[in-house]
Amino acid sequence: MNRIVLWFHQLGSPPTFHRYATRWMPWYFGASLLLLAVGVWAALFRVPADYQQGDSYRILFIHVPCAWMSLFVYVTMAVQAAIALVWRIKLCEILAMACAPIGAAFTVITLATGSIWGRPMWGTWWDWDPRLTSELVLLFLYIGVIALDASIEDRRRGARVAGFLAMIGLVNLPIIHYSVQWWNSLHQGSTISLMGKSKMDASMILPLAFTVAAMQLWFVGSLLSRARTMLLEREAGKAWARDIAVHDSTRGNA
Amino acid sequence: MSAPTLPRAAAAMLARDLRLAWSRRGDTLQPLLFAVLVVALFPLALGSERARLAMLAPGAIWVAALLASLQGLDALFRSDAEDGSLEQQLLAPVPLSLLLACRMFAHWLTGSLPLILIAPLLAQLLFLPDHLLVPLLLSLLVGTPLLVLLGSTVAALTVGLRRSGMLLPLLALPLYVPVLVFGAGSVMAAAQGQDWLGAVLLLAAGLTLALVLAPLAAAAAIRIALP
Amino acid sequence: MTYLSYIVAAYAVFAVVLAWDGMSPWLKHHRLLRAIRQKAARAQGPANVAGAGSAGATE
Repeated sequence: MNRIVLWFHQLGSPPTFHRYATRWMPWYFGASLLLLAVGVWAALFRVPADYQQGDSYRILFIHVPCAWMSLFVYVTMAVQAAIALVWRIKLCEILAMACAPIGAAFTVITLATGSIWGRPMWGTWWDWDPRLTSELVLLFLYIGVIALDASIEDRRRGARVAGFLAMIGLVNLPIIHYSVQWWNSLHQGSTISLMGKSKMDASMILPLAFTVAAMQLWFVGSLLSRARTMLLEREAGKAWARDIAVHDSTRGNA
Repeated sequence: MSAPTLPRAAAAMLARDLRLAWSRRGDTLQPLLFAVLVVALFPLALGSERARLAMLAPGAIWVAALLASLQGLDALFRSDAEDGSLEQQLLAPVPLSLLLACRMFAHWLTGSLPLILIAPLLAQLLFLPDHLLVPLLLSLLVGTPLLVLLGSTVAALTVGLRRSGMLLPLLALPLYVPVLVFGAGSVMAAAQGQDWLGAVLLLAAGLTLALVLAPLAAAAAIRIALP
Repeated sequence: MTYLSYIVAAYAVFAVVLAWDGMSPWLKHHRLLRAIRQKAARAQGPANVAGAGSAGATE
Protein backbone atom coordinates (compact mmCIF):
# COMPACT_ATOMS: atom_id res chain seq x y z
CA MET A 1 0.00 0.00 0.00
CA ASN A 2 2.78 2.37 0.87
CA ARG A 3 4.47 1.79 -2.46
CA ILE A 4 1.32 2.71 -4.33
CA VAL A 5 0.90 5.92 -2.35
CA LEU A 6 4.55 6.73 -2.90
CA TRP A 7 4.15 6.11 -6.61
CA PHE A 8 1.20 8.53 -6.74
CA HIS A 9 3.17 11.18 -4.90
CA GLN A 10 6.12 10.82 -7.21
CA LEU A 11 3.85 11.02 -10.21
CA GLY A 12 2.77 14.44 -9.03
CA SER A 13 6.21 15.78 -9.75
CA PRO A 14 6.20 17.21 -13.27
CA PRO A 15 9.44 15.75 -14.61
CA THR A 16 8.52 12.34 -13.24
CA PHE A 17 5.11 12.41 -14.85
CA HIS A 18 6.54 13.61 -18.12
CA ARG A 19 9.07 10.78 -18.13
CA TYR A 20 6.41 8.26 -17.18
CA ALA A 21 3.99 9.44 -19.84
CA THR A 22 6.61 9.50 -22.58
CA ARG A 23 7.71 6.00 -21.68
CA TRP A 24 4.27 4.39 -21.53
CA MET A 25 2.43 6.30 -24.23
CA PRO A 26 3.64 4.22 -27.20
CA TRP A 27 2.70 0.99 -25.45
CA TYR A 28 -0.86 2.08 -24.87
CA PHE A 29 -1.24 3.31 -28.45
CA GLY A 30 0.39 0.18 -29.78
CA ALA A 31 -1.83 -2.16 -27.80
CA SER A 32 -4.86 -0.13 -28.79
CA LEU A 33 -4.05 -0.30 -32.49
CA LEU A 34 -3.42 -4.02 -32.25
CA LEU A 35 -6.76 -4.75 -30.62
CA LEU A 36 -8.42 -2.32 -33.01
CA ALA A 37 -6.99 -4.08 -36.01
CA VAL A 38 -8.31 -7.43 -34.82
CA GLY A 39 -11.70 -6.01 -33.90
CA VAL A 40 -12.19 -4.11 -37.14
CA TRP A 41 -11.07 -7.05 -39.24
CA ALA A 42 -13.54 -9.29 -37.45
CA ALA A 43 -16.27 -6.66 -37.74
CA LEU A 44 -15.79 -6.23 -41.45
CA PHE A 45 -14.96 -9.71 -42.63
CA ARG A 46 -15.87 -12.34 -40.09
CA VAL A 47 -19.22 -11.38 -38.62
CA PRO A 48 -22.22 -12.37 -40.76
CA ALA A 49 -24.49 -9.68 -42.18
CA ASP A 50 -27.37 -8.70 -39.95
CA TYR A 51 -30.77 -10.26 -40.55
CA GLN A 52 -32.58 -6.92 -40.66
CA GLN A 53 -30.02 -4.26 -41.44
CA GLY A 54 -27.75 -5.98 -43.88
CA ASP A 55 -24.15 -4.86 -43.83
CA SER A 56 -24.65 -1.34 -42.55
CA TYR A 57 -24.80 -2.50 -38.97
CA ARG A 58 -21.05 -3.15 -39.12
CA ILE A 59 -20.80 0.51 -38.23
CA LEU A 60 -21.99 -0.56 -34.79
CA PHE A 61 -18.55 -1.88 -33.96
CA ILE A 62 -17.07 1.60 -34.00
CA HIS A 63 -20.20 3.58 -33.14
CA VAL A 64 -20.95 1.83 -29.84
CA PRO A 65 -17.44 1.89 -28.34
CA CYS A 66 -17.11 5.58 -29.14
CA ALA A 67 -20.54 6.32 -27.66
CA TRP A 68 -19.60 4.54 -24.43
CA MET A 69 -16.24 6.26 -24.35
CA SER A 70 -17.80 9.68 -24.85
CA LEU A 71 -19.75 9.15 -21.64
CA PHE A 72 -16.94 7.40 -19.78
CA VAL A 73 -14.46 10.15 -20.56
CA TYR A 74 -16.90 12.81 -19.35
CA VAL A 75 -17.33 11.03 -16.03
CA THR A 76 -13.55 10.64 -15.75
CA MET A 77 -13.13 14.33 -16.50
CA ALA A 78 -15.62 15.34 -13.82
CA VAL A 79 -14.04 13.02 -11.25
CA GLN A 80 -10.58 14.39 -12.01
CA ALA A 81 -11.95 17.91 -11.69
CA ALA A 82 -13.52 17.09 -8.34
CA ILE A 83 -10.23 15.68 -7.04
CA ALA A 84 -8.40 18.73 -8.35
CA LEU A 85 -10.82 21.13 -6.67
CA VAL A 86 -11.07 19.34 -3.34
CA TRP A 87 -7.45 18.33 -2.86
CA ARG A 88 -5.87 20.99 -5.07
CA ILE A 89 -3.74 18.51 -6.98
CA LYS A 90 -2.15 20.21 -9.95
CA LEU A 91 -1.78 17.04 -11.98
CA CYS A 92 -5.48 16.27 -11.74
CA GLU A 93 -6.27 19.72 -13.10
CA ILE A 94 -4.21 18.90 -16.16
CA LEU A 95 -5.66 15.41 -16.50
CA ALA A 96 -9.19 16.78 -16.32
CA MET A 97 -8.58 19.34 -19.06
CA ALA A 98 -6.76 16.76 -21.18
CA CYS A 99 -9.86 14.56 -21.09
CA ALA A 100 -12.03 17.19 -22.73
CA PRO A 101 -10.74 17.12 -26.33
CA ILE A 102 -10.52 13.33 -26.29
CA GLY A 103 -14.11 13.06 -25.13
CA ALA A 104 -15.18 15.58 -27.72
CA ALA A 105 -13.45 13.53 -30.41
CA PHE A 106 -15.30 10.38 -29.32
CA THR A 107 -18.55 12.34 -29.32
CA VAL A 108 -17.93 13.63 -32.83
CA ILE A 109 -17.23 10.10 -34.06
CA THR A 110 -20.41 8.89 -32.37
CA LEU A 111 -22.50 11.60 -33.99
CA ALA A 112 -20.94 11.18 -37.43
CA THR A 113 -21.11 7.38 -37.49
CA GLY A 114 -24.60 7.50 -36.02
CA SER A 115 -25.72 9.86 -38.73
CA ILE A 116 -24.04 7.81 -41.48
CA TRP A 117 -25.57 4.63 -40.10
CA GLY A 118 -28.96 6.28 -39.90
CA ARG A 119 -28.95 7.51 -43.49
CA PRO A 120 -29.83 4.17 -45.11
CA MET A 121 -32.26 3.44 -42.29
CA TRP A 122 -34.07 6.74 -41.82
CA GLY A 123 -33.62 8.18 -45.29
CA THR A 124 -32.18 11.39 -43.86
CA TRP A 125 -28.86 12.28 -42.30
CA TRP A 126 -30.48 13.27 -39.02
CA ASP A 127 -33.64 12.11 -37.35
CA TRP A 128 -33.52 13.55 -33.83
CA ASP A 129 -33.06 10.05 -32.52
CA PRO A 130 -33.15 10.46 -28.70
CA ARG A 131 -29.75 8.90 -28.13
CA LEU A 132 -28.05 10.98 -30.80
CA THR A 133 -29.79 14.12 -29.56
CA SER A 134 -28.44 13.49 -26.06
CA GLU A 135 -25.05 12.94 -27.65
CA LEU A 136 -25.33 16.30 -29.38
CA VAL A 137 -25.97 18.04 -26.07
CA LEU A 138 -22.97 16.16 -24.65
CA LEU A 139 -20.84 17.60 -27.44
CA PHE A 140 -21.92 21.08 -26.41
CA LEU A 141 -21.00 20.29 -22.83
CA TYR A 142 -17.52 19.29 -23.96
CA ILE A 143 -17.13 22.36 -26.16
CA GLY A 144 -18.24 24.51 -23.25
CA VAL A 145 -15.56 23.07 -20.96
CA ILE A 146 -12.88 23.50 -23.62
CA ALA A 147 -13.98 27.05 -24.44
CA LEU A 148 -14.18 28.12 -20.82
CA ASP A 149 -10.74 26.74 -20.05
CA ALA A 150 -9.33 28.48 -23.11
CA SER A 151 -10.81 31.84 -22.20
CA ILE A 152 -9.03 32.17 -18.86
CA GLU A 153 -5.44 33.25 -18.98
CA ASP A 154 -4.29 31.77 -15.69
CA ARG A 155 -3.98 28.11 -16.65
CA ARG A 156 -4.54 26.76 -13.16
CA ARG A 157 -7.63 28.89 -12.54
CA GLY A 158 -8.93 28.05 -15.99
CA ALA A 159 -8.65 24.33 -15.28
CA ARG A 160 -10.42 24.72 -11.94
CA VAL A 161 -13.25 26.84 -13.35
CA ALA A 162 -13.79 24.60 -16.36
CA GLY A 163 -13.53 21.59 -14.07
CA PHE A 164 -16.33 22.95 -11.92
CA LEU A 165 -18.40 23.40 -15.04
CA ALA A 166 -17.71 19.79 -15.95
CA MET A 167 -18.95 18.71 -12.53
CA ILE A 168 -22.16 20.69 -12.95
CA GLY A 169 -22.57 19.10 -16.36
CA LEU A 170 -22.14 15.64 -14.88
CA VAL A 171 -25.07 16.16 -12.54
CA ASN A 172 -27.06 17.36 -15.50
CA LEU A 173 -26.22 14.45 -17.82
CA PRO A 174 -28.80 11.95 -16.59
CA ILE A 175 -31.40 14.72 -16.47
CA ILE A 176 -30.67 15.64 -20.07
CA HIS A 177 -30.82 12.01 -21.11
CA TYR A 178 -34.13 11.41 -19.39
CA SER A 179 -35.65 14.63 -20.68
CA VAL A 180 -34.71 13.82 -24.28
CA GLN A 181 -36.25 10.35 -23.92
CA TRP A 182 -39.47 11.91 -22.66
CA TRP A 183 -39.36 14.53 -25.40
CA ASN A 184 -38.97 11.86 -28.03
CA SER A 185 -41.87 9.78 -26.78
CA LEU A 186 -44.02 12.92 -26.68
CA HIS A 187 -43.38 14.02 -30.21
CA GLN A 188 -42.73 10.92 -32.21
CA GLY A 189 -44.36 8.01 -30.49
CA SER A 190 -42.05 5.03 -30.66
CA THR A 191 -39.28 5.12 -33.20
CA ILE A 192 -37.02 2.38 -34.35
CA SER A 193 -33.96 2.74 -32.22
CA LEU A 194 -30.69 3.06 -34.03
CA MET A 195 -29.51 -0.35 -33.00
CA GLY A 196 -32.59 -2.04 -34.31
CA LYS A 197 -34.43 -4.92 -32.82
CA SER A 198 -32.00 -7.66 -33.77
CA LYS A 199 -30.47 -9.27 -30.77
CA MET A 200 -26.75 -9.36 -30.45
CA ASP A 201 -25.57 -12.67 -31.83
CA ALA A 202 -22.80 -14.29 -29.82
CA SER A 203 -20.41 -13.90 -32.73
CA MET A 204 -20.96 -10.13 -32.64
CA ILE A 205 -19.93 -9.68 -29.03
CA LEU A 206 -16.28 -10.64 -29.44
CA PRO A 207 -15.33 -8.03 -32.06
CA LEU A 208 -17.22 -5.44 -30.03
CA ALA A 209 -15.23 -6.40 -26.95
CA PHE A 210 -12.03 -5.93 -28.93
CA THR A 211 -12.96 -2.50 -30.21
CA VAL A 212 -14.20 -1.37 -26.80
CA ALA A 213 -10.95 -2.46 -25.19
CA ALA A 214 -9.03 -0.77 -27.99
CA MET A 215 -10.81 2.52 -27.35
CA GLN A 216 -10.16 2.32 -23.62
CA LEU A 217 -6.45 1.84 -24.25
CA TRP A 218 -6.48 4.62 -26.82
CA PHE A 219 -8.02 6.93 -24.25
CA VAL A 220 -5.26 6.25 -21.74
CA GLY A 221 -2.57 6.70 -24.36
CA SER A 222 -4.06 9.93 -25.63
CA LEU A 223 -4.58 11.18 -22.10
CA LEU A 224 -0.92 10.62 -21.27
CA SER A 225 0.12 12.31 -24.50
CA ARG A 226 -2.03 15.39 -23.99
CA ALA A 227 -1.26 15.64 -20.29
CA ARG A 228 2.49 15.56 -20.81
CA THR A 229 2.19 18.22 -23.52
CA MET A 230 0.08 20.46 -21.31
CA LEU A 231 2.51 19.93 -18.45
CA LEU A 232 5.46 20.86 -20.61
CA GLU A 233 3.64 23.94 -21.81
CA ARG A 234 2.96 25.16 -18.29
CA GLU A 235 6.47 24.45 -17.06
CA ALA A 236 8.31 25.61 -20.16
CA GLY A 237 10.45 28.01 -18.17
CA LYS A 238 11.70 25.45 -15.70
CA ALA A 239 15.09 23.80 -15.79
CA TRP A 240 13.81 20.28 -16.25
CA ALA A 241 11.95 21.35 -19.37
CA ARG A 242 15.10 22.88 -20.81
CA ASP A 243 17.01 19.73 -19.98
CA ILE A 244 14.54 17.60 -21.87
CA ALA A 245 14.47 19.96 -24.82
CA VAL A 246 18.23 20.11 -25.22
CA HIS A 247 18.66 16.41 -24.56
CA ASP A 248 16.04 15.77 -27.20
CA SER A 249 18.06 17.68 -29.80
CA THR A 250 21.34 15.96 -29.07
CA ARG A 251 19.58 12.67 -29.63
CA GLY A 252 18.87 13.82 -33.17
CA ASN A 253 15.18 14.43 -32.72
CA ALA A 254 15.27 18.11 -33.72
CA MET B 1 -20.88 46.40 15.24
CA SER B 2 -22.34 42.92 15.30
CA ALA B 3 -23.10 40.90 12.17
CA PRO B 4 -26.56 41.51 10.71
CA THR B 5 -29.19 38.82 11.02
CA LEU B 6 -29.77 36.70 7.98
CA PRO B 7 -33.23 38.01 7.11
CA ARG B 8 -32.08 41.61 7.39
CA ALA B 9 -29.04 40.95 5.22
CA ALA B 10 -31.23 39.20 2.66
CA ALA B 11 -33.75 42.02 2.63
CA ALA B 12 -31.00 44.60 2.27
CA MET B 13 -29.45 42.74 -0.66
CA LEU B 14 -32.80 42.33 -2.35
CA ALA B 15 -33.68 45.98 -1.87
CA ARG B 16 -30.31 47.02 -3.27
CA ASP B 17 -30.65 44.89 -6.37
CA LEU B 18 -34.20 46.03 -7.01
CA ARG B 19 -33.22 49.66 -6.61
CA LEU B 20 -30.28 49.15 -8.98
CA ALA B 21 -32.57 47.51 -11.51
CA TRP B 22 -35.02 50.38 -11.24
CA SER B 23 -32.33 52.99 -11.70
CA ARG B 24 -31.31 51.22 -14.89
CA ARG B 25 -34.77 50.26 -15.94
CA GLY B 26 -33.96 50.67 -19.59
CA ASP B 27 -31.33 47.99 -19.35
CA THR B 28 -33.51 45.84 -17.16
CA LEU B 29 -36.35 45.87 -19.67
CA GLN B 30 -34.20 44.95 -22.65
CA PRO B 31 -34.53 41.18 -22.27
CA LEU B 32 -38.30 41.63 -22.15
CA LEU B 33 -38.29 43.63 -25.36
CA PHE B 34 -36.03 41.02 -26.88
CA ALA B 35 -38.55 38.30 -26.05
CA VAL B 36 -41.35 40.25 -27.68
CA LEU B 37 -39.21 40.77 -30.77
CA VAL B 38 -38.42 37.07 -30.98
CA VAL B 39 -42.10 36.20 -30.76
CA ALA B 40 -42.85 38.72 -33.50
CA LEU B 41 -40.22 37.13 -35.71
CA PHE B 42 -42.03 33.80 -35.94
CA PRO B 43 -45.05 34.97 -37.92
CA LEU B 44 -42.78 37.09 -40.08
CA ALA B 45 -40.70 34.06 -40.90
CA LEU B 46 -43.41 31.45 -41.12
CA GLY B 47 -46.43 33.32 -42.41
CA SER B 48 -49.54 34.42 -40.57
CA GLU B 49 -51.58 31.28 -41.14
CA ARG B 50 -53.50 30.83 -37.93
CA ALA B 51 -53.32 27.08 -37.52
CA ARG B 52 -49.60 26.84 -38.08
CA LEU B 53 -48.79 29.63 -35.67
CA ALA B 54 -51.10 28.14 -33.06
CA MET B 55 -49.20 24.88 -33.29
CA LEU B 56 -45.86 26.59 -32.82
CA ALA B 57 -46.97 29.09 -30.22
CA PRO B 58 -45.97 27.25 -27.02
CA GLY B 59 -42.52 26.40 -28.32
CA ALA B 60 -41.96 29.87 -29.73
CA ILE B 61 -42.93 31.62 -26.49
CA TRP B 62 -40.75 29.26 -24.49
CA VAL B 63 -37.79 29.83 -26.79
CA ALA B 64 -38.33 33.56 -26.47
CA ALA B 65 -38.38 33.28 -22.67
CA LEU B 66 -35.21 31.20 -22.74
CA LEU B 67 -33.34 33.58 -25.02
CA ALA B 68 -34.45 36.54 -22.94
CA SER B 69 -33.15 34.77 -19.87
CA LEU B 70 -29.78 34.29 -21.53
CA GLN B 71 -29.68 37.98 -22.39
CA GLY B 72 -29.73 39.19 -18.86
CA LEU B 73 -27.16 36.72 -17.55
CA ASP B 74 -24.05 38.48 -18.64
CA ALA B 75 -24.89 41.61 -16.71
CA LEU B 76 -25.81 39.70 -13.59
CA PHE B 77 -22.46 39.82 -11.89
CA ARG B 78 -20.54 42.10 -14.17
CA SER B 79 -21.06 45.47 -12.53
CA ASP B 80 -20.41 44.08 -9.08
CA ALA B 81 -17.31 42.31 -10.23
CA GLU B 82 -16.01 45.44 -11.88
CA ASP B 83 -16.42 47.84 -9.00
CA GLY B 84 -15.27 45.45 -6.33
CA SER B 85 -18.56 44.93 -4.53
CA LEU B 86 -18.36 41.25 -5.28
CA GLU B 87 -15.21 40.89 -3.25
CA GLN B 88 -16.89 42.77 -0.43
CA GLN B 89 -19.76 40.33 -0.55
CA LEU B 90 -17.28 37.48 -0.43
CA LEU B 91 -15.85 38.84 2.78
CA ALA B 92 -19.18 39.66 4.36
CA PRO B 93 -20.15 37.93 7.62
CA VAL B 94 -23.26 36.69 5.86
CA PRO B 95 -23.06 33.53 3.72
CA LEU B 96 -22.32 34.39 0.12
CA SER B 97 -24.88 31.84 -1.05
CA LEU B 98 -27.63 33.80 0.72
CA LEU B 99 -26.63 37.04 -0.99
CA LEU B 100 -26.48 35.29 -4.33
CA ALA B 101 -29.90 33.74 -3.76
CA CYS B 102 -31.30 37.21 -3.21
CA ARG B 103 -29.63 38.45 -6.38
CA MET B 104 -31.09 35.56 -8.35
CA PHE B 105 -34.53 36.29 -6.92
CA ALA B 106 -34.23 39.96 -7.83
CA HIS B 107 -33.12 38.96 -11.31
CA TRP B 108 -36.18 36.76 -11.72
CA LEU B 109 -38.47 39.48 -10.40
CA THR B 110 -37.18 42.06 -12.83
CA GLY B 111 -36.51 39.86 -15.83
CA SER B 112 -38.84 36.89 -15.94
CA LEU B 113 -41.89 37.96 -13.98
CA PRO B 114 -42.74 40.76 -16.44
CA LEU B 115 -42.46 38.20 -19.22
CA ILE B 116 -44.96 35.91 -17.50
CA LEU B 117 -47.27 38.89 -17.04
CA ILE B 118 -47.27 39.70 -20.74
CA ALA B 119 -47.33 36.05 -21.78
CA PRO B 120 -51.08 36.19 -22.45
CA LEU B 121 -50.41 39.02 -24.88
CA LEU B 122 -47.70 36.99 -26.61
CA ALA B 123 -50.10 34.05 -26.71
CA GLN B 124 -52.61 36.22 -28.53
CA LEU B 125 -49.98 37.29 -31.07
CA LEU B 126 -49.42 33.65 -31.97
CA PHE B 127 -53.03 32.52 -31.76
CA LEU B 128 -52.43 30.17 -28.87
CA PRO B 129 -55.64 28.25 -28.09
CA ASP B 130 -57.27 29.50 -24.91
CA HIS B 131 -57.20 26.22 -23.07
CA LEU B 132 -53.40 26.12 -23.37
CA LEU B 133 -52.91 29.43 -21.61
CA VAL B 134 -52.99 27.95 -18.11
CA PRO B 135 -50.42 25.22 -18.90
CA LEU B 136 -48.25 27.85 -20.55
CA LEU B 137 -48.35 30.24 -17.64
CA LEU B 138 -47.84 27.50 -15.09
CA SER B 139 -44.89 26.03 -16.96
CA LEU B 140 -43.32 29.48 -17.29
CA LEU B 141 -43.94 30.22 -13.64
CA VAL B 142 -42.08 27.09 -12.59
CA GLY B 143 -39.57 27.03 -15.40
CA THR B 144 -38.26 30.59 -15.52
CA PRO B 145 -36.96 30.55 -11.92
CA LEU B 146 -35.16 27.35 -12.80
CA LEU B 147 -33.62 29.04 -15.82
CA VAL B 148 -32.49 31.93 -13.65
CA LEU B 149 -30.98 29.61 -11.02
CA LEU B 150 -29.11 27.47 -13.53
CA GLY B 151 -28.00 30.42 -15.62
CA SER B 152 -26.74 32.36 -12.63
CA THR B 153 -24.59 29.43 -11.54
CA VAL B 154 -22.96 29.36 -14.94
CA ALA B 155 -22.62 33.15 -14.98
CA ALA B 156 -20.87 32.94 -11.63
CA LEU B 157 -18.22 30.76 -13.27
CA THR B 158 -17.47 33.37 -15.91
CA VAL B 159 -17.19 36.21 -13.44
CA GLY B 160 -13.49 36.68 -13.96
CA LEU B 161 -13.70 37.07 -17.72
CA ARG B 162 -13.74 40.41 -19.45
CA ARG B 163 -16.15 40.09 -22.32
CA SER B 164 -17.53 36.59 -22.48
CA GLY B 165 -19.52 37.22 -25.64
CA MET B 166 -21.17 34.07 -26.83
CA LEU B 167 -19.44 31.93 -24.24
CA LEU B 168 -22.09 32.31 -21.56
CA PRO B 169 -25.01 31.17 -23.77
CA LEU B 170 -22.91 28.24 -24.98
CA LEU B 171 -22.25 27.16 -21.41
CA ALA B 172 -25.81 27.65 -20.22
CA LEU B 173 -27.65 26.01 -23.10
CA PRO B 174 -26.96 22.35 -22.26
CA LEU B 175 -28.27 23.02 -18.77
CA TYR B 176 -31.32 24.76 -20.22
CA VAL B 177 -32.27 21.88 -22.51
CA PRO B 178 -34.16 19.79 -19.92
CA VAL B 179 -36.05 22.85 -18.69
CA LEU B 180 -37.07 23.74 -22.23
CA VAL B 181 -38.03 20.16 -23.01
CA PHE B 182 -40.27 19.79 -19.98
CA GLY B 183 -41.56 23.36 -20.04
CA ALA B 184 -42.55 23.62 -23.67
CA GLY B 185 -43.28 19.90 -23.73
CA SER B 186 -45.89 20.20 -21.02
CA VAL B 187 -47.85 22.68 -23.12
CA MET B 188 -47.43 20.50 -26.20
CA ALA B 189 -48.71 17.53 -24.19
CA ALA B 190 -51.71 19.58 -23.15
CA ALA B 191 -52.28 20.46 -26.80
CA GLN B 192 -52.35 16.76 -27.63
CA GLY B 193 -54.76 16.08 -24.84
CA GLN B 194 -52.26 14.15 -22.76
CA ASP B 195 -51.29 14.58 -19.15
CA TRP B 196 -49.30 17.80 -18.87
CA LEU B 197 -49.17 18.31 -15.13
CA GLY B 198 -46.55 15.60 -14.69
CA ALA B 199 -43.96 17.53 -16.64
CA VAL B 200 -44.69 20.68 -14.65
CA LEU B 201 -44.32 18.74 -11.41
CA LEU B 202 -40.97 17.45 -12.62
CA LEU B 203 -39.94 21.03 -13.23
CA ALA B 204 -41.17 21.92 -9.76
CA ALA B 205 -39.09 19.15 -8.26
CA GLY B 206 -36.07 20.42 -10.14
CA LEU B 207 -36.82 23.92 -8.95
CA THR B 208 -36.93 22.81 -5.33
CA LEU B 209 -33.54 21.18 -5.67
CA ALA B 210 -32.09 24.12 -7.53
CA LEU B 211 -33.38 26.59 -4.94
CA VAL B 212 -31.11 24.93 -2.41
CA LEU B 213 -28.18 23.88 -4.55
CA ALA B 214 -27.77 26.66 -7.09
CA PRO B 215 -26.86 29.46 -4.64
CA LEU B 216 -24.35 27.14 -2.97
CA ALA B 217 -22.87 26.12 -6.30
CA ALA B 218 -22.77 29.73 -7.49
CA ALA B 219 -20.98 30.79 -4.31
CA ALA B 220 -18.41 28.03 -4.81
CA ALA B 221 -18.08 29.03 -8.45
CA ILE B 222 -17.39 32.66 -7.59
CA ARG B 223 -14.72 31.62 -5.13
CA ILE B 224 -13.07 29.48 -7.79
CA ALA B 225 -13.43 32.02 -10.55
CA LEU B 226 -12.21 35.14 -8.79
CA PRO B 227 -8.44 35.56 -8.84
CA MET C 1 -28.73 -1.57 -51.82
CA THR C 2 -25.03 -1.30 -51.33
CA TYR C 3 -23.93 -0.25 -47.92
CA LEU C 4 -20.29 -0.13 -48.90
CA SER C 5 -20.07 3.65 -49.25
CA TYR C 6 -21.67 4.14 -45.86
CA ILE C 7 -19.38 1.67 -44.14
CA VAL C 8 -16.35 3.21 -45.79
CA ALA C 9 -17.48 6.70 -44.82
CA ALA C 10 -18.11 5.75 -41.21
CA TYR C 11 -14.80 3.97 -40.75
CA ALA C 12 -13.01 6.79 -42.54
CA VAL C 13 -14.43 9.39 -40.15
CA PHE C 14 -13.40 7.15 -37.28
CA ALA C 15 -9.84 6.85 -38.57
CA VAL C 16 -9.44 10.54 -39.37
CA VAL C 17 -10.70 11.78 -35.99
CA LEU C 18 -8.58 9.28 -34.07
CA ALA C 19 -5.56 10.21 -36.16
CA TRP C 20 -6.13 13.87 -35.33
CA ASP C 21 -6.50 12.98 -31.65
CA GLY C 22 -3.26 11.04 -31.70
CA MET C 23 -1.17 13.39 -33.80
CA SER C 24 -2.17 16.83 -32.57
CA PRO C 25 -0.71 16.61 -29.04
CA TRP C 26 2.41 14.88 -30.35
CA LEU C 27 3.03 17.63 -32.90
CA LYS C 28 2.41 20.27 -30.28
CA HIS C 29 4.87 18.59 -27.95
CA HIS C 30 7.41 18.52 -30.73
CA ARG C 31 6.98 22.22 -31.45
CA LEU C 32 7.15 23.04 -27.75
CA LEU C 33 10.47 21.26 -27.36
CA ARG C 34 11.85 23.20 -30.29
CA ALA C 35 10.62 26.50 -28.86
CA ILE C 36 12.14 25.78 -25.45
CA ARG C 37 15.40 24.82 -27.06
CA GLN C 38 15.54 28.01 -29.11
CA LYS C 39 14.67 30.12 -26.10
CA ALA C 40 17.41 28.48 -24.06
CA ALA C 41 19.89 29.08 -26.86
CA ARG C 42 18.94 32.76 -27.06
CA ALA C 43 19.27 33.16 -23.32
CA GLN C 44 22.74 31.69 -23.25
CA GLY C 45 23.98 34.03 -25.96
CA PRO C 46 24.96 33.39 -29.57
CA ALA C 47 28.37 31.93 -28.73
CA ASN C 48 26.97 29.14 -26.67
CA VAL C 49 24.33 27.50 -28.80
CA ALA C 50 23.12 23.90 -28.57
CA GLY C 51 25.43 22.58 -25.93
CA ALA C 52 24.63 19.42 -24.05
CA GLY C 53 21.96 19.92 -21.42
CA SER C 54 23.19 21.55 -18.24
CA ALA C 55 21.22 22.04 -15.13
CA GLY C 56 20.86 25.52 -13.78
CA ALA C 57 21.62 27.39 -16.98
CA THR C 58 21.99 31.09 -16.44
CA GLU C 59 19.00 33.12 -17.45
